[in-house]
Amino acid sequence: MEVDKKGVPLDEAILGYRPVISFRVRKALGSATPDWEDVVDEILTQAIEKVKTGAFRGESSVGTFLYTITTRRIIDHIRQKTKVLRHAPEPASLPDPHDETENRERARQIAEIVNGLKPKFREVLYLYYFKDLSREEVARELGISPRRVSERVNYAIKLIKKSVKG
Amino acid sequence: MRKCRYEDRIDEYLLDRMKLEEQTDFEEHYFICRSCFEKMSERDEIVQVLRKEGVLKPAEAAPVEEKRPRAGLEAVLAFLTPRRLAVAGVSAALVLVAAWLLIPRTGTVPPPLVLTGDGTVRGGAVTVLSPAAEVAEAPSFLEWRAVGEDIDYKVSLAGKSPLMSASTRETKIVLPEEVKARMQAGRTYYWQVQAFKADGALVADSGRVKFKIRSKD
Repeated sequence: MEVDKKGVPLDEAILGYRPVISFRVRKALGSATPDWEDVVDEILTQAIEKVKTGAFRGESSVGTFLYTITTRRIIDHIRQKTKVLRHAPEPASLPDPHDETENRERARQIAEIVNGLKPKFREVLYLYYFKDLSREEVARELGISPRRVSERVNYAIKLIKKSVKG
Repeated sequence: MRKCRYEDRIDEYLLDRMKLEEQTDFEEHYFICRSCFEKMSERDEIVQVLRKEGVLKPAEAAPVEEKRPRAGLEAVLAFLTPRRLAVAGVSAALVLVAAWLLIPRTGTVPPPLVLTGDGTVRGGAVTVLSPAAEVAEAPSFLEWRAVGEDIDYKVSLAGKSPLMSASTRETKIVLPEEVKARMQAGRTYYWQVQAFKADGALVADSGRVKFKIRSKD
């Protein structure tokens, strides 16, 4: 059985990359695309198949191997979808009700924490993330240095992360 | 643990501020660097919330406005007496009512959707026939009433994840065997039909219809 550099069986190591592949696929196709999960499954299946046939034996990094397959599959999927959708609109997607509830609850928790932050942190988060200004533009708007902008953004995010975990 | 040099670029990536080559390089990196991927996932969840409308309210998030009072503000406030504000308010309301009455209605009004007790959707919407509520086994087809002539129907079926989506001009669609094979007893499924005219305009919608395959006890 082929193993990776840490001695983990390759097929097991590949399955452990599901969150990474899911993130990449969702970012490329959009979370609202109904078949993003199918694309992730196809990528994992293809990767494991290559291990089984000996096309990949773990000589290079598993991450790089999976990145290549993922990128190609995303491009193929977009090409396929472009052909199908050219003439007909797709029906509305049907989201998983269980995931929706959990995601909404986490988002509500984060929003509550954000609104409990001091105004100086909220204002920098608002300008940087919601208004989509650059670090330099935020600095000019608030009359502080770009470095101070980064410090406040990072500190605010750290506070939010700590509150969500705690 | 030494900080990865890519860590400071996480925000740029999440906010789509990278050039294409930088983005490709960063994407390949997080497939290799578990630490960067974990930090990025955590950050992404927070950034998604921060970019939502209404989370960071402008009035509270931008107190800089209060720090720099505009010249002449006091003069403006002095001009706007309660009487003048009341007159302005009533005039604005009258203009809005007149505009609402006079402006002609154009465009297609979305059909009202009503759920009846037996699960069918009536009114100006697609009336679903079968399946609805509970069935003994995986259905062989999905069926609904026609809403007119020359209509394209888009049909979706899903459980926890999408199972099928298809188009037809008929009012019934047969479920492929591979789709039926994925459906299990005791589970709930949802389907929906949307009716489109030839020009692509949506004219009717069934809404999400729920049905359950009875458990085999």
